[in-house]
Amino acid sequence: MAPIHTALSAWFRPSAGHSWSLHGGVRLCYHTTMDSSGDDPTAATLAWLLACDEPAVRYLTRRDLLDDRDGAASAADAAQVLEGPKARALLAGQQPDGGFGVHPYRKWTGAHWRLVLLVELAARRRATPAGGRLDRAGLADQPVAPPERAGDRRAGPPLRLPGGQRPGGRLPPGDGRRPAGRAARPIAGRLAVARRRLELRPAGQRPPLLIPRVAPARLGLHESGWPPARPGRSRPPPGPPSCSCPTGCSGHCRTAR
Amino acid sequence: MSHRLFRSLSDGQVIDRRWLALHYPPYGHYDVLQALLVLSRLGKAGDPRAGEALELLMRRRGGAAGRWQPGGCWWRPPGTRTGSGPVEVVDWGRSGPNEMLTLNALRVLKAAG
Repeated sequence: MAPIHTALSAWFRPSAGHSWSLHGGVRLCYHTTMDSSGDDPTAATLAWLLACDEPAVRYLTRRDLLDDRDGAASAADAAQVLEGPKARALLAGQQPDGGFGVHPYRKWTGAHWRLVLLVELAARRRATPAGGRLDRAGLADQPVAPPERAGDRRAGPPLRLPGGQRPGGRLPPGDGRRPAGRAARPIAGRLAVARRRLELRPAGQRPPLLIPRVAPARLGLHESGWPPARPGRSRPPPGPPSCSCPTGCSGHCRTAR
Repeated sequence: MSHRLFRSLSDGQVIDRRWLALHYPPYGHYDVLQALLVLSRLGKAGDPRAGEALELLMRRRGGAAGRWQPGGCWWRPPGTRTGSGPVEVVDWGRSGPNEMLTLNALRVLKAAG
């Protein structure tokens, strides 16, 4: 049996009319029944893929395996990708806001995972049958509250604290919805907090970070340097910094090595 | 690449046996087919360090039909009781030849040249 990677390029050669020449001089056409009765597993596998009821599989087979990107059959299958049974199931239940009534990252029914699979099926960006849009499938800044379900211990009215504060910590079962965590906060808010923390200023104006400017005596440092000597420790403290570089580092820069 | 996609650098053992099984959809999980697919899209599927993974992929080809089937699934079929694992909205096929796995495997092997 020939290696499959050479077989693909040798046996199927696109030509005019969207037909291919097999090594025996037999021509195959998209719209005819392909002969898979022989002992050629690659031809049989390609015929099986082209007979799939999912237009996306047929389109991707033609596009990626048979190098037929612009043929009529490829265009027809590409246009029907969203009509395939798997694509329709992935889009079932889509709401006008593009979401699916659950958190976008809920496994595997959230909009994120459905979008990932629709991309793998070569779905193109356009309005979906439900009126939503693939590119806005509930992945906006605002978190999507999960629907209430009967019998779900987490179901119930949203938890509100006096003053509108965000609840923190875990609640005992049955007391209400799981509190919104860091991941559920709007990304814009998290970016604003991060921006404030970083204090985006020009490099020369940044305040020193994580370096307390406190007199060594107040920190209880050993007179020979860092770290302070602790009673009971057998390892002697290191000596003073041996680096002579002009940056004044404590001996861990490349110059010291 | 220095791990040959699934081997430990220290002792050469397989890092995780689940990486050797084929899955579809992989979601955020890793396996050799998904790694090879990414490499093929980068034009690196022919790298010698991916050779062992390619051989493994060929060994996973099932029977005379020459199709690939899943060695595991990260999903539960639609309608399964919640609590036993994340439930899918699409039945991708948990046994027997799988179209998407076969398509991806052929993509990789074609790119490997």
